[in-house]
Formats: sequence, C-alpha cells, structure tokens
Amino acid sequence: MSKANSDTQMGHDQIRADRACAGCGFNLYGQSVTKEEHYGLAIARCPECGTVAALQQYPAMSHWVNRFRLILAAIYIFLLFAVFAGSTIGISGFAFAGSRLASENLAGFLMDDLNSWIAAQEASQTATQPLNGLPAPANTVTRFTSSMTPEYMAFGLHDALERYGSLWGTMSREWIVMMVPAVLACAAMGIFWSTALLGATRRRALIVPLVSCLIGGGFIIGANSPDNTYPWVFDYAHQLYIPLMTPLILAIEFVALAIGICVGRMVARFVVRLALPPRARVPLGILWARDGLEMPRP
Amino acid sequence: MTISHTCPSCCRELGHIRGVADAHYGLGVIVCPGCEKAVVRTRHPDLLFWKRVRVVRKSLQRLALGLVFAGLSTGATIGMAFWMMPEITDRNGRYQMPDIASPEIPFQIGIAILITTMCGCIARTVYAHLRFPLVLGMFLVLIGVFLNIDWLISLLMIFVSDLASADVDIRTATSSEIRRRLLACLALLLPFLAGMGIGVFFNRMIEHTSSNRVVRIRRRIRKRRSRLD
Repeated sequence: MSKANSDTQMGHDQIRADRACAGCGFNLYGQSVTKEEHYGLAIARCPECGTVAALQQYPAMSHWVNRFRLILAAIYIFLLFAVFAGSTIGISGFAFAGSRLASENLAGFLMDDLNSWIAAQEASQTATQPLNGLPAPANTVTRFTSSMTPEYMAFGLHDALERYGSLWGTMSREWIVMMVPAVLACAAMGIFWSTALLGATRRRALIVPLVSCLIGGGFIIGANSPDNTYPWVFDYAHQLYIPLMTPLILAIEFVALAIGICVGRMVARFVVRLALPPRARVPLGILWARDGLEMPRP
Repeated sequence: MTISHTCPSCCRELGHIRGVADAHYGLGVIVCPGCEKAVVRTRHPDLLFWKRVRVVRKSLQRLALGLVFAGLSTGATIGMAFWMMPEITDRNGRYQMPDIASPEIPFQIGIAILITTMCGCIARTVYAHLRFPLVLGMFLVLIGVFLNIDWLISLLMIFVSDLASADVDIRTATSSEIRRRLLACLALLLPFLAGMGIGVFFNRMIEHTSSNRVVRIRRRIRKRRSRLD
C-alpha cells in the first residue's frame, strides 16, 4: 500500500492560509488536510516533494533564528569592545595631555637651566684654553638647545631639580582647566555605558570604566619611562610628571564616568520620553523595567 | 496573508478566526466552528523573536530620527541667526534696519524666514506627541544653549581657572556679541512659531491620511473574510 493511501482520507478541510512545506518550502495553500492512521495527527502532503507536513502548532523551524540571535549578540559585543577601546584611548589621551600641561613650568625651568649650564661650560672652556694670545670675542653667541646632553644629565640636572623644588607645588595649573572638557566627555561616556550595559547593575557597570582607566594608566606610565639618551627637555619633564599626574587625572575621570553611570539611565529615560510617543516607548521598556520602575503613563 | 492554523480534532482551518483572550491566563482561545473544541492560538517563539526585533528597530529608528530632526532644526535655526546677525544688528548689539535697497538682502531674509519656518514645522511634526508649550520650551532651551555654547563653556573654564588660581588666557564672547546673537535669534522666533503652527496642521493631515489607510486595510480584511467564510 502506498503512503498516500495509508493516510486516512477523511477529507476534513483544506489549508486556506500560508504554510510552507518543511521539505521544499512550497506553499501548501489549498492542500487537503488528512488524519494519518497511526497517531491520528492532522497532516498535509506536499504536492511538489511528497513530504508529509504535520500540522502541529509549532512546526519544525530552521536553526537560523538562533544563528541570527548569535550574530546580533556578536555584533553588539564587538561594538561594545570597539567603544571600550575608543574610550580607553580617549581617557588615556586626556591623562597624557594633562600631565604634559602640568609639566610645562618644569620644562621651562630646565630649558633655562640647561642653556645657562651650556653657556657656563663654554665660557669656562674658553677661559682655560686661551686662543693663542688673542682676546676672547666680546659677544659670544650661545646656541639655544632643548636637547639634554649626557654631561648635563650627569652633572647639572640633579642640582637643577633640587633647585626647582617640589613637583606638586610648582606645576602649571593649566591642566585643571583642561579637565573641564575631559570631565564632560567622561560623563557622556558614563551615560553611554550605563545605557549599553543594561544587563548589569550600576555597581557592576562601574567595572568597565575602571578597567578602561587602569589599562589607560598602565599603558601611559609603562610606555613613558624616562629616556636618558639625549632626551628633549619637554619630554623629560613630562616623563617626570606622568607617574604623578596620570593616577590623579584618571581618578578625576573615573569619578566623572561614575557620575555618568549613575545618571545615565535616568537621562536615557528622559530622552526616550521626550522623543517618542507612548506606544513607541513600549519596546524600550527595559530602560524602566531594569530599575524596577513602571512605564510612564501617557 | 494569515498563517495556517488547523483544528487538532477535526482538521478545520482556523487561521481566519480571531482568538479571544481567556479570562484566567490571557491565552488566545478559538472555538472550532466544526467540532466546538477549544483550541489555543499561540505564536511560534521564532516568529515572536522577529516581531520583537522589528518593533525594537522601529522604535530605535524613530528615536534616532527624532534626535536627528531636533538637531537639524536647532542647528539650522542657529545657522540662520548667525547669517542674519550682521544685517539686522550693529556692532554694539542694537537692532538696525536691514538694507532693503540692496538686491541680495531681501533674498537673504526670505531664505532665512523660509528655513526657520520649515524648522518650526519639522519640530512640531516630529514632537507631535508633546504639548505645544513643552515643544516650544524645549526648542528655546536647545537654541539658546547651543547659540551661546562657546560662551557657556568659556564661563565654565574661567570659573575652574579661578578656582584653581591658574593663569590661563581664555577668550570669551563679549556682552555685545551675546546681545547680537540673542537679537538675531529673537527676530527668527516669529517664523519659527509660525512654522510650529503650520506643523500642527501638517501633523493632523498625516494622522488623517494614516487613519484613512487603517480604515481601508480593515475594509479589505473584512471583504476577504466574507469571501472565505
């Protein structure tokens, strides 16, 4: 007996809506629904490939939905990593620039000291080696340099740093003014993290900027160790300030990030309430549900 | 077209019958007209996933559009204010009559009024769900803040610089410059308000058209059902 005949031909009804064949995708619209004899299940047979389609509520679907879920999640995580890398670069950039600004006074002092030290060395050399009885030139032109020599670093630099005094007390205060845009940018970044990391509580979300600050700080301090072979005065002063200023600036930035994370979801909710009508807000209800709040009434 | 749903008892097609939510669980229940068996209508979770994705995408798209249009309207109004500033204000921040005799000035004024009116219209249409005073207040704040953003930031920097007793040279806009900007902005407020008024009518027209469309779709569905039943 053939398969077609084995199905009990009850002739109950026909499929009068869309249903794709699980075998070939052919639309089974118009096919008669029968009850097969073994289990009494309602089935329809595809006229194209002969596959029996069980007309159950949840037909067998492909794995593509799960794959798409995975792809979407992967894209989201990739974007988050990209933003993380960008924010780390930004945070460390502010710390680098801030320490550079703070070191300007020391750099200026060292520059003056270096040039006067070189001038003194040249003058003493001229005094000890007379030019075959000729008088010394009246106006000696001293070359102006910003690159420290090994001799200066060995004999003059230590004294100069002692004369300069404490690095904290004499730093240039310009870096504090530069912290205004840095704090604003970090607060905006905190708002982003608070909204993007909806799966985490605010306290857990703080880990991301903390790691970002640690990586940025470690990178700046590690990559800028003092250079002792003909360093530029500005670079040398900067390298002295980096271990002092970077943790301080990163701490300020972290506080701004934390404030952004604390108010981030509130800001996001405010923007959504302002920009979307009540019905369109519903799919973004997780912003309210995550904090245990009720959706605002229209 | 609707998705097929057959009665497990008598194999009758139930796809065109609307499910009624039951009182206890909220499940969509359909009573088969052939055998009178109650059948539950549930959506496949995979279909629900795509539906949810589509709805979230729509919401995010609308949110982005709202923010972009708000930015565009604010930016264009500020741009027009800066464009008109030399024509309607003098160096001391006082109003001066624009030189109408000059051939390009009336054209410039016309363009500025047209664009500002359009900005007002867009602002009202995009934020139609908010009340009129709220939209007006929101855009006044946005335009006011971004018109003087350099001044506000320099004030903040001067404050911080004084607090830290740092010797930093920060340039800030003069009071006459601020007066000029505000005057130019006030002059463009009238076309902006007129644009918002036009936006109210424009929005009503859109809603009317979309409600007509809904009525047409419902009528088509009813006809199809009557053909099938």
